[in-house]
Amino acid sequence: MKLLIIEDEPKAAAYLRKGLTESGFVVDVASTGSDGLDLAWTGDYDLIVLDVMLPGRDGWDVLKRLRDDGRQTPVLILTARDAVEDRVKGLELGADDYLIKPFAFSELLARIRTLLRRGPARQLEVVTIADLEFDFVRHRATRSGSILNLTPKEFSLLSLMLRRQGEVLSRTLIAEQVWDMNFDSDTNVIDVHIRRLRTKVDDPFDVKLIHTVRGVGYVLEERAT
Amino acid sequence: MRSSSFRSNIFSSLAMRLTLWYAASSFSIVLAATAVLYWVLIANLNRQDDQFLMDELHILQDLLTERPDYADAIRQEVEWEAAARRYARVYERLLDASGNVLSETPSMDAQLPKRLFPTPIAVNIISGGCDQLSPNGTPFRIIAATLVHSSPGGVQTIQVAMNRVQHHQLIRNYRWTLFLVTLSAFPVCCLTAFVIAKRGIQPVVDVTKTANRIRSTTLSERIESGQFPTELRELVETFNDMLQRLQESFERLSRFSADIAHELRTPVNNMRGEAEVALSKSRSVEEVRESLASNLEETVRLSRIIDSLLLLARAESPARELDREPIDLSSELTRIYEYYDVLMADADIQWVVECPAGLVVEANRPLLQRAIGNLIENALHYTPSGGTIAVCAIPSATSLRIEVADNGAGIPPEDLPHVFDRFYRVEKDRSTSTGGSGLGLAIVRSVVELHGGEVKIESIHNIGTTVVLTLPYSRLSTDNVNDETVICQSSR
Repeated sequence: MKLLIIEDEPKAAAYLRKGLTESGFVVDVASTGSDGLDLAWTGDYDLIVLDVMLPGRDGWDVLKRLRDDGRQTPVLILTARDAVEDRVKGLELGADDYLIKPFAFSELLARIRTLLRRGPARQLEVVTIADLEFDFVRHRATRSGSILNLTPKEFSLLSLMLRRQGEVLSRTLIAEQVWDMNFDSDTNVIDVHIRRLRTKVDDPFDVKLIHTVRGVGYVLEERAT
Repeated sequence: MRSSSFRSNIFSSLAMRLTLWYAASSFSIVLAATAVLYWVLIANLNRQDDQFLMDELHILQDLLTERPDYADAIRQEVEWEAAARRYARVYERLLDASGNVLSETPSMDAQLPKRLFPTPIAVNIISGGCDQLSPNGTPFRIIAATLVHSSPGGVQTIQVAMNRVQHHQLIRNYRWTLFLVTLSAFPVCCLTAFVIAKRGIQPVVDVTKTANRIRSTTLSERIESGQFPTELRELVETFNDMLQRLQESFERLSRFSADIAHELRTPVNNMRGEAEVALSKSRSVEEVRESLASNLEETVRLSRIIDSLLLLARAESPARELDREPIDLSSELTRIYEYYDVLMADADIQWVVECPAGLVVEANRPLLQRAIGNLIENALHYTPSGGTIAVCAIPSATSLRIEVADNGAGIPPEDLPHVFDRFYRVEKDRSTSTGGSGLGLAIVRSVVELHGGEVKIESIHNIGTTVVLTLPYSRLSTDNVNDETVICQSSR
């Protein structure tokens, strides 16, 4: 997967390039709108990450020219202003998603993956990881053959982590996806939920599946011990 | 354009307007007084002259009827006495029944021929004379009378005239004097009016000067209302009240800026120190990871403060259209219950959430969630283990009350009015470990006010705190509110 980052701030461009490359993407960086436009025309990118505040030709202009030219490459906009008009403008000009600075890198990664995954969603039926077997259809989870006694919310939480296994999920994303809570709590409520899930999913077993990524969130994956 | 702006300038000045009114009214009074004086003088002079003429008439009549043998005396009276007067020159003429002159003051015929006199009236009913100019232009007051009883000498009619040159001179002088008085009264009136107006306006000017002197640094200054007249005192007091409010919001604003700086300083300082220490010597990967993670936590904290501040700032910008959607409150509260229940269980707090089933409210969902969530987190923070928290929604005809009540420590009365202020914390240590950002309740208030509602807080020490959100509410036609109540309750 090839990504183009159009971002004038060198530090931001550097960590985006690093983070996305390490996540398995091929990344090109342009530091001005014009350079970005040239690259977008010549290179075949799967997605463009576009900063709105660019010197000279700004992000809106780049986006407009791309769309006028008939390019349908997904564009994810980064903006420091979260005025509603800005979002509406971006989406009207043909952006596919937007993120407001400051954002969590995990959030950006999740959104990029979602945009690239768009299309017919893969309908999962049964997922197996280590000795955990999760049946989406029958709403049943087992580890080493014994049934895990999960509440409905614990079941949703585990299913979210399974569907996105290997992906670090931020607390904000978890709250949004499982409880439909659209704000950041000042409490450690997500940590408590994860702890409860762990007591059922991980604690009785030797192989731990749910891991904490400090400062970022949680990830479900099988790690080599 | 020029003239109209000039005009509006002149008339827009209160002092000028007052000056004009004062000047116009005082000058009119002077004019009226002068006219009355002039009229009175003329009337008095006429009456005086008439009395004099009547006197002459009566003397002559008496002489003619009572003393007919005093012919010489009569002649002396008519021909000499009158002519001898220096100031009030009098002319007298005696006529018989057929109008022939029997006797007259010398030169009278040249001055006043007998035809100039009016038709004579009987002496006992005559009251006054009339003005008559002689052929050469000399002004006279004249009178003509017939005797009631015929005199032995055949005298039937008496004509008496009085030269009024002196009086006319007097009136002319007087008129000139009055003219001069009115002429000089005009500037005097204007000047006096101007001075009075200026003096009257002076307190207003003083108020303006004081108001002008007040800057953001001298907002505590007030105008002393005692020295002003009663009419202005109210204005001054209103102005002072406004200053008071301005000062309060100004102080709140600058305290707010200082608080923001302080709130940002702590995480930035942590990040800086952490990074500096980490870089000061070579470290193991684990140590570097630890520093980075700590830095990340501080960054997340910063982001959230910025996020909350932006939310508050946006809530304050007027004319902001809220994205509202119909929200089924009971299912929303159920979700909130499920979300927070683990925390309540951890803290060993009994809690209950109650809401009529099918209650639909038009609101911005993330904001409403945030407001209710903040209140629950707040209650949780101040309720010791073993305590209880109750959340309930109570709809009425026009409003919806959402109450969050706890039986925790309560809030000291002196803190109560400020708990909705930004960055206000009841614990003064400001450490973020014992609480959130200090913006939670401020956000609650902003959200509720954005929705056109209000928020109230009641608290009794050691008994508990109740926060009540009141939102405008009208039952939607699609509502299906019944007596059924959704109750989520912890079974611990």
